[in-house]
Amino acid sequence: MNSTEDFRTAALRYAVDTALCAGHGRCYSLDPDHFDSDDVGYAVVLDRAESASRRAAMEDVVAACPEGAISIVEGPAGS
Amino acid sequence: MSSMAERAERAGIPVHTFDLENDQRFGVDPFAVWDEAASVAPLFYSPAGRGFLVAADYDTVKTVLQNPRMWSNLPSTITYTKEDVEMDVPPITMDPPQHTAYRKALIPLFSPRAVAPLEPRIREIAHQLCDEIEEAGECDVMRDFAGRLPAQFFLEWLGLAEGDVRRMYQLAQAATFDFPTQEQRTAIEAEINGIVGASITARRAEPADDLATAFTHLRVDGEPVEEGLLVGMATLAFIAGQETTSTQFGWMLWHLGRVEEDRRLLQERPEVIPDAIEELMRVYNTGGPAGRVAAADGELNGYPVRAGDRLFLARCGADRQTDRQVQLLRTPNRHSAFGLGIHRCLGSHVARIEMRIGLEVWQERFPDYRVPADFVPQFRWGSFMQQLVSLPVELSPATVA
Ligand code: HEM
Ligand code: SF4
Repeated sequence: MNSTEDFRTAALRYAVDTALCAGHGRCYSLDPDHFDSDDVGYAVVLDRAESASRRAAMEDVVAACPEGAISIVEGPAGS
Repeated sequence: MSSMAERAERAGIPVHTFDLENDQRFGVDPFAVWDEAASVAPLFYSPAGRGFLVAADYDTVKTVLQNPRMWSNLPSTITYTKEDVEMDVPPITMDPPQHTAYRKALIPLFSPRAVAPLEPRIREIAHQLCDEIEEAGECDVMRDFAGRLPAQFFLEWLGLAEGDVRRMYQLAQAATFDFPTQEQRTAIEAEINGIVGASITARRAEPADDLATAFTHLRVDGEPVEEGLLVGMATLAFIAGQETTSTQFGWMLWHLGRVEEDRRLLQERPEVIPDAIEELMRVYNTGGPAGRVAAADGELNGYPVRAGDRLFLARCGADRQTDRQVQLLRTPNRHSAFGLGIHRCLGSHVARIEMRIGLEVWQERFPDYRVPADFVPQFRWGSFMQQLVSLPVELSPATVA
């Protein structure tokens, strides 16, 4: 498999740095398909991968977190 | 030991007089003063008061707030005043590890899930206030709606519905604006402590389903909380729950009453009200104390920090710098209006609900309201925030045939 194919089939997931998350709740308000709140309001990432074509929309959510606690991690598709 | 001013000069950090206590322009056009500060530099030194650093862009504000070990809330001195005045409003006036334990105990009381059930009551109060306004046929939004909805709701939640609501609102206002001396600050806090302390005592004897009762059950590390601290925390809720929310909400109705296009957008698409609230908080960022004191020597934006250095967070200027235009549907949008880091506003989830319901009910009841074109606003100032003194509106301006 060459690297271009790799990129196209890569699955994207959100990750939250729990040390930085302060529970503003922007992520689970904006994107409830990918985030939930724990019992007291900190973010929980739901295990749902997206295709690379969704990167721009995902980056909007990353940028909306006031703490900069969210990142996008790349893994092979279907993982 | 060199002074803050000398170190700023040596490090090439600009000097700019940012004077929340004395700059008269805050009474006329407060946001221009914040914008001016934000355009100086991400970090500058202000010789006003006792001298303090000012963090004036988002990244610097975030760096400070995400490093509570370096930037402490102890002593809890108000960093921008001439007099050395200390506040006693836990958990703001705490550092880790003590803060961590208290925060952990408090956060369930204010979580999104805990506050969602309050919605119907908030809506009911909003409608009652609109009924009264309709009956009166005229309205000053600060006096009759923005200044009343949060107080009415919050005092009830604190078990104080029977009390003198206007006096209690005045007290919250005084705690935010009228404390040039330590004596005054202590006296205001003592009066509020007395009121909320009595409510907590009453709920111990006769529990109810409210915040005051939740306070009586509070345990930190499995132990009951010492009474003085418990009452201090309820006092902070009393102040922020009324005054800060009213001030922020007032700015929203101010904006929508003047910008027809934005008012129409929210009427046509009420589902975007939550987005509009974030944007209006960013541009009219208003609330929350904003001082820190260096706990250790270190470095910030090239400035050599010494333990004891005072710093003020110009969150308002920093957030507005992202873009001074209001775009209600801005994506992505982030702001620091509820603070950042470990002291992130505990009341943010309930405040968001209050403002959303307030806007929903208001635009349902008075869809054509507007601020008269000749209205000259005046602002209460002298503190970390500025508040509209009054906001008379036309409820349903006569349509021009
Ligand atoms: C729109 C309204 C509000 C705004 C803009 C606001 C703003 C803020 C800000 C900026 C902070 C951080 C202060 C700092 O880091 O020094 C804060 C903290 C806090 N706020 Fe609010 N607030 C609002 C409403 C409320 C309400 C309704 C409550 C009710 C309980 C509340 C309770 C608190 C508490 C307890 C803290 C301290 C949290 C801690 O130290 O861990 N606030 N608020
Ligand atoms: S937006 Fe950021 S800080 Fe807020 S809950 Fe989500 S991850 Fe945490």
